[in-house]
Amino acid sequence: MKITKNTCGNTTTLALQGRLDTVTSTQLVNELSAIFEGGAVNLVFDFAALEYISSAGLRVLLTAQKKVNALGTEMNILGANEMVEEIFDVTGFSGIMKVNSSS
Amino acid sequence: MQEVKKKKVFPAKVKLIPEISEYVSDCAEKAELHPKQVIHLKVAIDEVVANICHYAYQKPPGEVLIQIEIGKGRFAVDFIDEGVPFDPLTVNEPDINAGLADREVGGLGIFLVRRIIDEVHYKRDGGKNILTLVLYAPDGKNHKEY
Repeated sequence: MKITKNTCGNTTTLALQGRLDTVTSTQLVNELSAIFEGGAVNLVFDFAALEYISSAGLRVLLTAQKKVNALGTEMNILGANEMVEEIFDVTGFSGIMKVNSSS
Repeated sequence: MQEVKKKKVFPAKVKLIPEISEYVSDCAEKAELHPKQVIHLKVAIDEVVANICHYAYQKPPGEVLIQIEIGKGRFAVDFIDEGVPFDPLTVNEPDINAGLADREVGGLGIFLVRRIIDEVHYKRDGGKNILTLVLYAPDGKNHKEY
């Protein structure tokens, strides 16, 4: 998985390319802890090039959402494809996160 | 759907999940499963094999035998380990309507597998855990709508 980080003002965008699964989720964990160390930021996940997500990835997003809520900032997920959106719907994650799909 | 039987043993290591995933999904693509089914399968493989790598063996790594059987409109893959007896289908399903604060991530993986795969079976046989995922051929009659 490739992660591209872009910071603009107090919003950091992470564009993910590939798969967010058991093997790659640690990459995102490390990226996020570095970001949170830098202080309170709004997070945007650009999922336009994300092929799929498994529960290991959902776990990381859940932790990030809790952290963001504690900091009083915002987290948005953009561009999720049909398959990723389905996973968010099936697991009820669409109800606890701001997810804007590509469709 | 041409009848095919294949099997291969892999060390049950997290870093080998991509290799196992490729082995199974290559077969699924050749069996002409729908591309969305192949993605569902990849997600399910990640969940099932990660579980085996993390929990099956008291002295990791053990092994996982992958057994694929294609035919009669079905694509079936067995994940066989010789670890501690564990039936993931008996795990309580997570409350998917819980709010953020009460969200638990335990059990989410297998829950997901049961929602995106047509059939999931478990049996304990001769000291082995056998978890089977079955997907129906897109031209079959009982498949999920795509």
